[in-house]
Order: sequence, then structure tokens, then C-alpha cells
Amino acid sequence: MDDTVQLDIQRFNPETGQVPYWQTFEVPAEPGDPVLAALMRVREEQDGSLAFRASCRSGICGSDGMVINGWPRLACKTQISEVQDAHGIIRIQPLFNLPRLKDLVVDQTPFWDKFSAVFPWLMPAVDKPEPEKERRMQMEPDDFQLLSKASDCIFCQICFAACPIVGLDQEFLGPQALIKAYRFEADPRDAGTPTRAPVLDDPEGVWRCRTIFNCTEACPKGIPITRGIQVLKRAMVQEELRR
Amino acid sequence: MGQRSYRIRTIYRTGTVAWLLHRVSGLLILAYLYFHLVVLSSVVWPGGPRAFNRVVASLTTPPFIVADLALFAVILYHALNGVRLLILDMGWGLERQRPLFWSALIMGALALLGAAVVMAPLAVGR
Amino acid sequence: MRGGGRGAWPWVLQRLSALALLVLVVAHLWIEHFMHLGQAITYHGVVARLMHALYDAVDYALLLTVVYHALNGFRSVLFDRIMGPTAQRLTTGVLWVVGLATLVLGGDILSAFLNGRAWFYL
Repeated sequence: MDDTVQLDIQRFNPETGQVPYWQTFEVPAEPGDPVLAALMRVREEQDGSLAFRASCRSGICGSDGMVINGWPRLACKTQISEVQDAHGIIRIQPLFNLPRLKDLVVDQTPFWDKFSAVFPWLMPAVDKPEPEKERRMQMEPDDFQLLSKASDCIFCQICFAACPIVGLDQEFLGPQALIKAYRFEADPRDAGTPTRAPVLDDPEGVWRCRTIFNCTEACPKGIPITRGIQVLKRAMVQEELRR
Repeated sequence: MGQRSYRIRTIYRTGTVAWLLHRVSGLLILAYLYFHLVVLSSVVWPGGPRAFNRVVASLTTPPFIVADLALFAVILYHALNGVRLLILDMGWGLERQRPLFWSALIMGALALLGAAVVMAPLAVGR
Repeated sequence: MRGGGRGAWPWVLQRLSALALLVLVVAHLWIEHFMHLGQAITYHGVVARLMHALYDAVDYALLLTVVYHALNGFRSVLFDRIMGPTAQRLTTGVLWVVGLATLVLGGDILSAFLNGRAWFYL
């Protein structure tokens, strides 16, 4: 391999307490390699102290979300040739809107707190008897179409990092919690709307969304997040009218 | 939730630019609203109608006509991007937010051109 | 992440007032400016051409709608930035007072034009 790539990586070490700084690495790489492969080379061959999360390397586990050239992406799903700038350089930072722990690793707590706040599970109607056949609640295939994209979420936190409102307002639920709420609200078997409504129909719930579309544009699974949030907004207006 | 640095660290894509411009234009129009009310309130100042005539005469000079045109541009942006937001809130065009933004800008530019043509004689002081 | 609910109404009203403003602002600009473009604006001239019930209705409706839309919009701008519940309640209260005061001043001005005399003079 003759080709090399220059990675400018934003480093941070909590032990020194130093402000984040940029460090340049140069590693051999093919244009078609994923950025993650180059990062792994850096860690294996040049600097073992470089911290980043990664696991499956195939866009399923959602571990390696990071900001590549100013936009949050999955490092394993991003080819080097896609993001190299005119000088062949790739700039890598940790995800926005989450506190740094070390180098490219962020503290995911705020993200998970918001996710758990929307009751992200199926809440069947209490008066419905539990199905006897294998205790499974079945669903019509057509109904599944409504939520099939929303259920593709891999919890990579990229939408959370892409949303400028999440950056402004730490109380805002953010796109991931909202699309997860949508996934269950759109499920015909779910009866959890009265439980979720106080959280969703809150100024810090669906109403803080300003239809900026960064979440939808950044989502590596192509989930139409903004569409889901817009459906939730109209559902919440109907919920208010029903009261 | 601990200490965090919450700065706007956004990537300025169409949706973000549209949102920021909507904010800025809204704030400018808010400021103009109060300016407008203060000017008009000259009718209830001591001196009443005569104070009003004096204030208005000084505000219809060419520099202020040009400022009116700038104000019109700001209002046009806020109104037309507002229509875009209303369309998106109805759940329409969610895959076409960018074309919607550009259409709003083009329609606004055309309306501004029309207003400029109509107001040009006033702006040159005739 | 608060969970008190009831956030829908400011949002709905902001959109309804926006729709109303699309009509009212165009009507206002047309009646007050473009219909008599180029004529010198004087108090008595304005009073004379506003002698029409429809114009009254447009201007009073515009005043009410624009003050709501402007201050509610300003409130969203403020609340998009992190702000505690107490500060939010205080801000909302202040904006209500400001809004009502604006309506009184605006109504007073309109009355001077539309009825020939103001409710009060400053």
C-alpha cells in the first residue's frame, strides 16, 4: 500500500486536565478503507493510548459514532475517500453534546437518561388478556411498516450529537428518545400514550424540536426521525383535545 | 447531570441556517414592532397630531425608505420560511425541506424586487 | 426532560397566529402603505382614509395577533437556551405584563386614529 492518510485527532486526557488538543497521525490506508480501520492502525502501530469505542465494525453495534470533518458519523460506515478534504486530511473529534471522558470516548449518561424517560417499551392495554398461543402479541405486517424504520435504531447517539437544540438546552429529550417514543406510539399493540404524554407533550418534549433535520440527515440507518417527531406533535395535539 | 459545555457546535446545513435566520429575523421584527409603536405613539404625546406629522415627515426621507425595504426583506424571509415551517408541521414535504427553503428564498427575492421597483421613486426622493 | 405535559397550546397558538398574520400583515401593508404610496403621510390624512369598519377590524386584530406571536416567539427563543423552571415562570409572567401593556398602548394609538381621539394622552 502506497497510499497514506493524515488523521487530525482531537485528544483529551482527563488525568492531565489539559484542554483538548489536536494531534496528527499518518497511517497507510486505501481510499476505500473505513475511517475506523485507520484509527485502529493508529492505536495498534503508533499510539496505544488513543481511546475510542468500536466493536462490530459493520454498522450494527453503534459504538463508533464520532465527529468526522465536523459532522457526526459512524467511523466503520464512512470511507476514507468520502471525507478526505482537499489536502487529504481527515479531522476527528468526539461526539458533540456529550461530555468527553478521554479522546474520542464520551460520557453517554445524558443520552441514556433521556432514552429511559420516554418509557421505551411496549405497554399493552391492561384489559387485554395475555395471548395464550406462545404468549406472543402478534402484529399485522402492514402495521409493522409504520414503525419498521424507527425500530432500526442502533443507539449510536449520532442524531443526539447532530441536533443543535440538544446542544443549547440540556433538558430537551432529543431526537433519539423521541423516535423511540414514536416507535411504540405507532405500534397498534401499545396503549402507553397516557403514560408517555406528560413527557412527550412537555415544552422539553416534542415541542422543543425546531424541525432542523440534522438528526434525519445524520442518522446512519436512514431513519426519518423528523417525520416521526412531527407525527408525535400532531398526536399530542389530539391528545390535548381529547382531555 | 454534571457540568457540561453546552455551546452551539452545529454544522451549518440548510435546516440549521433556516432556523437561525428565522430566529434573527423574528428578533429584528420584534424590535421593529416596538419602534413602530413608539413612532405611532407620537399621536398621544403632548402636541398630538402635530408631533405625529413631524416624526413621520422625518421618517419618510430617502434613507428611511431604503431601511423600509430592508425591513420588508426581513419580514418576507420570516413569513415565507414560516410558511415552510407550517407545511412541515402539517407533515407535508418532510423529504423536501431543502427545495422548500430555496423556493421560499426565491419567492422572497422576487417579491422584494417588486417592492423595490415600486418604492424606487420614493427612495430617490421624488 | 420534565414531564409536566401541556406544552401543546403555545405551539398550536403560535402556528394559528402565524396563519392569521399572513393575511393581516398583507392587509395592513396594503391599506396603510401601498394604497396611497407616495402621498405625504399626515395625521388627518390617515384618519380620513381609515374611516372604514373593515380597516378598524384589521388593525385591532393585527395588534392582538402580532403581540401574541412576537412575545410567544421571543419566549421560545429564550427557553431554547437552558433556563430553570423558576426563571421560566418569571419570564412568562414578565412577558404577559409586557404584552398587556403593549396592547393598551397599541389600542390607545389605534383609537386616536380610528375614533379621532385616544383613550389617554401621555
